[in-house]
Amino acid sequence: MTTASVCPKLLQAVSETFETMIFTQVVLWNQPPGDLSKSSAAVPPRSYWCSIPVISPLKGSMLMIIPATLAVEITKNLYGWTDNAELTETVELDAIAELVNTISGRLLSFLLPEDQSFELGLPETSETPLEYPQESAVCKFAAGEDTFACILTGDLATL
Amino acid sequence: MKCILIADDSGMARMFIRRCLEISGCQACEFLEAENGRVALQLLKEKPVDLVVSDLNMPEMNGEELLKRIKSSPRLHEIPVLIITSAANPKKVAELTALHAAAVLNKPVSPASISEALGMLGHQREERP
Repeated sequence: MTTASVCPKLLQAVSETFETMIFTQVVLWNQPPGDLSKSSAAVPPRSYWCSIPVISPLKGSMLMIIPATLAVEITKNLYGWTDNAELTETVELDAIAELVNTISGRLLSFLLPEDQSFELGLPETSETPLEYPQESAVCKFAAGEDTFACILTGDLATL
Repeated sequence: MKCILIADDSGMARMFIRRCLEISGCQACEFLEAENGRVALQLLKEKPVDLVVSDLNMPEMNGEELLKRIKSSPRLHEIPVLIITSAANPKKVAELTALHAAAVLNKPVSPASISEALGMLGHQREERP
């Protein structure tokens, strides 16, 4: 797995989304990439995985791996909740799926010409690792104290 | 009281759009929510709605199909449909505008972008003969 050259554009998409929706600043986290599914140091003990297929004109997917602690903060921020009373895993996963959907759309709009339509699939979320090909590319980000990763597969990994 | 139907498969997105609408002046509006186009159409059959705000990418029936169904319905075609999508670019906006979408907004939406779209809708209505 390599660090994607598309990371600066992905950072732009992530930043726009985080800043607009949850008023949170995101920066690139420059740590050497590893196999996130196997490295306990890279993936916090409890993480959420969310993948969205890119259907056309590029083919591939974007997978976000986000610590549950950050997912909780994001969800509370989005809903304006000050405590965890109404938090459920379903609500947290739904919030992360919407973020991933928005980020992937922004990324493709940055990558493709203005006259090029694109199509995304529906996001899939999981509390257990989702499979992704070895020849993927990764971008890592930091939001406050937490870090998270986006793995790009297929055509997106070679940009 | 105006009634606004929000169609999006994400509960979080529906809440976020509703909050943006409320900040943009729709505090007194009644909100209906649907998780896809099929449910939205069902709600439209049951209750008069003044504005539809729909996501594009939804399971079962997507926002484009919902837009087509609304605009081809003699009873519903005058309801303005605001499309909110993460896949908006000038080409997509042109395609959806040709299908009579009132406006197309890129995700993430903000109170400012929703407010601008609502202002444009009001302006379009004033211009109607």
